[in-house]
Amino acid sequence: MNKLRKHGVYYDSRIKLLLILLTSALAFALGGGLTGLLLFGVVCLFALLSGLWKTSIKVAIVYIVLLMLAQVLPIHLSSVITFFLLRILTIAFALNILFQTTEISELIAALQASHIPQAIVIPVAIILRFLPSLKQDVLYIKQGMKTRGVGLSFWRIVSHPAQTYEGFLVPILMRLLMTATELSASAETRGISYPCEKTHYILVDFRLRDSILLIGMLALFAVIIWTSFQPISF
Amino acid sequence: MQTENKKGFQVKDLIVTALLSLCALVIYIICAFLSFSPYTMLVVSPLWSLLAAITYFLVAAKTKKPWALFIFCAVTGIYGFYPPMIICCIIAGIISALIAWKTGCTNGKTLTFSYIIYMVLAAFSGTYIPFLFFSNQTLEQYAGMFGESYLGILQTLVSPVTAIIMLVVVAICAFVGALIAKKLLKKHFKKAGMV
Repeated sequence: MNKLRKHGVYYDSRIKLLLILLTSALAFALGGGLTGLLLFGVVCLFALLSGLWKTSIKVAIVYIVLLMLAQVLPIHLSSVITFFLLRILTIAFALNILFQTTEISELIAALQASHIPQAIVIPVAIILRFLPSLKQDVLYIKQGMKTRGVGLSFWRIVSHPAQTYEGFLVPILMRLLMTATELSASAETRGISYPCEKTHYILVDFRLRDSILLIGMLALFAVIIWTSFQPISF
Repeated sequence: MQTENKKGFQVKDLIVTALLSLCALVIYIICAFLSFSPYTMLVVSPLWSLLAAITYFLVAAKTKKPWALFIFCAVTGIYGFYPPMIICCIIAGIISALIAWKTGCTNGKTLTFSYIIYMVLAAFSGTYIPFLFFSNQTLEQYAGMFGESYLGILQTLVSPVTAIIMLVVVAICAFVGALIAKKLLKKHFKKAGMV
């Protein structure tokens, strides 16, 4: 967040959350091609606004390479790229903006300020907080499996599907349950269940700049939706 | 005898439910990569119902709260960002919660039954509704995304009869997934004292 304030424009975390929701919804609801490219462009614009220059360049290069590969590969492989990889890359990029520029406590404060029920705020915060940790856990479990001679490979998955499923998923679920215990202990220590009005270190305020950004973002998404209904080939 | 947790709302249960929903979604995303051909696309929902059963059963075993099952179903539906899927998953969540409230969260047979209902509704709304009720728009969209050859195979594969057969396959896979999940729960999680 400090990095953001130094190098990029600071804006409300609810706008970032809305960006993720709209990107996820439109990425799969609308067609690919030009619409997908425009959607990626909007996410890229907000990443640049947040000061994520290096990440934006890296992701844009990956996107362009995948787009070019989709043009030359056979239809079944290119469909995986256009239908999944490019869309998931766009959604992951939108999520990355939130991860890199927002503290979870700030997001919780913003959602609670919007009078969103605790039953929704907690799962949203937990899912967003745990996504990067899950990636790390998967890497550790893969390393552990490799050490025991049951490394994850395509051939192994095909030849021993049950063993791979059990050996890979059970440790992840175990780790996940332990994380849940730790997180809930931490939250309880901070008085999350105490029935009183909560105060926050970070004060959230939806300012004029946020309103302008929100209107701009909604206008851009409206253009993308309008484009998807136009007979433009790509 | 069931050892139901009689305490009301607990943050820990909400956190467990959220994390297991995330795990179920990740499994779905991995399965969804099989959509690269029309034949493998039909396998996505049955495979998800087979692999994600453990997350559903862990929610019930760990939290022992009917509302946790409702949140699990609703969260996985909301992530689909497709109105029929959201509605069907919420309905499945309500049914699961009611069954669990009536018979208990540790009853393996009723949990299996509610899991089959949840998976059939999720598969019906997510994969088959677009083809059955909005077939022209969906096929046009698929033609734009994957090309005419993909569309040609898809048109021969997708029909109301295929959809019904696939829903039966999903129900069978969900049943098998539930059996595997119960075995895994007993073998790993109960022995480790985690549930």
